[in-house]
Amino acid sequence: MPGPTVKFQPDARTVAAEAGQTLLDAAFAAGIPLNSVCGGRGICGRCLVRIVAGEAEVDEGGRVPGGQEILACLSRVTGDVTVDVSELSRIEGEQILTGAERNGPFMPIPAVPVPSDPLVFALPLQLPQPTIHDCLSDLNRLTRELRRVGGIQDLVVPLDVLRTAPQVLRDANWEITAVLARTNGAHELVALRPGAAASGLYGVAVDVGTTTIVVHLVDLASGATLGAAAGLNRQAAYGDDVISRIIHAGEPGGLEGLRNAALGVTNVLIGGLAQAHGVARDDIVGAVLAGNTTMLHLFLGLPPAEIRREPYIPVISMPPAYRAGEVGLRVNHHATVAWMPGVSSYVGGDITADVLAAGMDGTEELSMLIDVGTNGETVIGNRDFLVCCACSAGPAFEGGGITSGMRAALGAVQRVKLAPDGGLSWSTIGGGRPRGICGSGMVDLLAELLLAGYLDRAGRLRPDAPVVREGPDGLEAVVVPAGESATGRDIVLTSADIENLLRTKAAVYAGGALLTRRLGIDIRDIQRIYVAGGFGTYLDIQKAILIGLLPDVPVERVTFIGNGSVTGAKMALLSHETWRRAAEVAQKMTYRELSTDMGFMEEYVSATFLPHTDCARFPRACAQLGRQD
Amino acid sequence: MTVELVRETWPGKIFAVTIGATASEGGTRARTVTVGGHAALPFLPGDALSPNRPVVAMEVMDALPQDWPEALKAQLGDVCSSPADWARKCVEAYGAELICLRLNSPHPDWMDASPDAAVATVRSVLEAVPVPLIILGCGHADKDNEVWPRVTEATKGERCLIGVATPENYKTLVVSCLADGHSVLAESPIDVNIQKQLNILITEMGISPGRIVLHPGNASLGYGLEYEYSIMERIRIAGLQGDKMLAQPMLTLSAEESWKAKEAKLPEAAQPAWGSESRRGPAWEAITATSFLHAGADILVLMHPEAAAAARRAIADLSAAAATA
Repeated sequence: MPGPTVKFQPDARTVAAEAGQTLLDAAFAAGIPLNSVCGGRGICGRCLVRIVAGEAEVDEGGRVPGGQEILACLSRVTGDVTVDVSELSRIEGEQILTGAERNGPFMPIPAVPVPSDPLVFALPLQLPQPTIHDCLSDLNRLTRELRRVGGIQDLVVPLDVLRTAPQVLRDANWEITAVLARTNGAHELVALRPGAAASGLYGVAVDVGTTTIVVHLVDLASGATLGAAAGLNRQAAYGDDVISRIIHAGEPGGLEGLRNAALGVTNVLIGGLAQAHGVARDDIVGAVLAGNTTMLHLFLGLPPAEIRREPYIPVISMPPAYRAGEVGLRVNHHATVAWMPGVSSYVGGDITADVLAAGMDGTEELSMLIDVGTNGETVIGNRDFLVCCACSAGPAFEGGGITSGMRAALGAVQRVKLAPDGGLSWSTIGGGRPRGICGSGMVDLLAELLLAGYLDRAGRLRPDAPVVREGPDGLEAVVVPAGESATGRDIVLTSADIENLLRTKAAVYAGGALLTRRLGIDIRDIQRIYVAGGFGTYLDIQKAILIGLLPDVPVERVTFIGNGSVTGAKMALLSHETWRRAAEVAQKMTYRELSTDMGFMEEYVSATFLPHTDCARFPRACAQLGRQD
Repeated sequence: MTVELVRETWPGKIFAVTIGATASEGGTRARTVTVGGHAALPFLPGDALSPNRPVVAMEVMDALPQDWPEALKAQLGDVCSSPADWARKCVEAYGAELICLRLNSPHPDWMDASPDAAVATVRSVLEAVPVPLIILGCGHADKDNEVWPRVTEATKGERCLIGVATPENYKTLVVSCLADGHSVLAESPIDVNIQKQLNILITEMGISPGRIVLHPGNASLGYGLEYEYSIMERIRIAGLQGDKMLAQPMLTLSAEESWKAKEAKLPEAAQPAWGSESRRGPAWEAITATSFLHAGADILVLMHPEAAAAARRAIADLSAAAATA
């Protein structure tokens, strides 16, 4: 007897499910990524669905009081069921901002020239037909031609590609295209395709973030980005930070669960992009992934336990390329899957990618890179040296742990300004009705509340300020009233949200400040600051300085590079030369451990203030606030 | 050959805070006490001599904790049942320069006394002694916020030092002190940054930084003394370097913390090798307090008369030695 099926409306997509599986998992399997900030723990209340036909078993707390909607993560399949996915909980893959679209004065991509020599490329070949006098084996015939046409001396042919060779060669009448990957120090045959065509090959660049996974689909021949998609890393169900996930990986089945969670999202995102752009999964022949070292371990199913224990030794930091089939990536089975090389247990390939995206390894000027992610990293250096550090910052600026927080997607409030009447005016990404607030909106909001005096420098709301009211959990600022929002609910910033943001910005700033101190560098000597992170299409640098997220330097010295991780990964995917440089960058970067540095806590506590406890470090920001302590 | 003393000069100066007001100043005190005003680290021969020596305040409570040490009870005797009598004895018999009145009884888990009762207690102590007053709340935020405005109003003009303001609860106290002319005792959890943040918040409400005294946390000998010592020292150095948000005089509640230590209060019967608790307890208190003198403490709040006497001797000796250079 076949198992139960779940049908999703309005997509009319049906998937086979197992009894006891949650509707969230089923939606996920159907390729309908539902909004779920908590990763399915029944906390965030975002994965709302409505049952149209059939039934589901709803766990305690899974029903919306007074409404028909239920939480998909707390509802289990018992038999055939049809559910309607609420407008609120949908994440439209195409709507999520991913760093592919950039505009505004603060969003120039640094002009880093990338040679066009993709990691995976096609070589059209016309092989001479075998005769009794030219009786080389199929493989030798192929290698001879590759040597002659492409000068390739180091061909590696996996057994399963070889198995398909005789058929392909003869069916195509010896006119074929060899798809070759340049990883692991050799040329590996990814596929043999009938006919001579250098185009029609695609690759994906993936940023495997602790909170968000972003995929770009790229045409390998033209270098064009066809589309981009982002989704929440479903590992969030096992904890917000890498440490709790490492702990979970040690439990029975934990590692496999974590691997499948990240892999699943990535596959859904790739599948969605491929479908939307009419690309066959089989034509996706290369992938470059960037993520922190823990993400790398979990994605590949490598035990991450030692990352957490002194002396913090990862299994790998610069992994060889594997094939998609081994990794579990649902693209061409033989596609090469490469990871951006990392530096240490706490500075991963995402930072190498950031450095490449910013181009800071090639310049003479002393620059600093700040990656505002769940893990906050700072790199300081130039073409002669690179030093980096990492600290746990939390997912607040990506929307995690913030009541009305969301990623930078359509409908996210990303600009906030104090209106003349004392209220708040805002604008959203895409201009539609607001669904939540993204990172750049939070930066704006904190700065405006602070400037208006609605917020004190310790981050406490003033109870008598115009937009402030007593909420269920203390004071909160109402950003968008329910009547104007897309969700029918108030979009608010609570006191707890502000504390969370304050802690995150303090950790990010403290890491950079301590690193400069330990290097004996004055922040004024740094000629350029690159800021990476999934904020939105824009980040108001001045406001980021005003709240003390970024050091108080002249605004024109700061360049926002958006998602540097996916940009760097894409650059490596499109250029073997850049890929080679990535290894160089990772090797030359020196890691500075902050966890054993007594100065960190000091820096951190002094940064948990707006903009900072020490006004001497933020002279312009404090002057703007009328303070000179 | 003579060794030349290194004389250190600093760009900043510690605020001088005066506690108490005489009749001509609008109060009823016979004398006032000024602390702070330093231009150098304490007791360093050759450096700028401080205009104001550290002072000893003695603590008086309106309700005794259940586990109040026997050694203190035995020493202070019956006066503990009346804050006014207790205060009078501290001034007349033990030479207290200030009285630190702690209002325990309003605490909801203690006696839940009314703000009226607290005001009456404060009045009785004011009448009983001619010295300036430090007044501390019960530590329950909501209740303190009920009591403080009443107490500051009732003591208007007396220029008391009232506390403690914490990062979580400072607004009511600051507003009340601002309105009624008192100074604020600002407490942080042994953290120089949090102390500074609190001072910024307090001054942003409009009170002058010269009307704040710092209480940079609680510690005693064997229980974090060196930690608090180094924080106090850093605060003082920052103040002398010109950081106005850390340039305030400092107070320590040395008695309260010292008597929490089992080494101070355990009876001799339980630990014969440690000797008599009647000597051990005050010694613990005195050593804690006099250690903080070196870190820059300006007001030592003590309970045991022997500890108070020892602290006063130390202040006199150190000041004399510094002055002879």
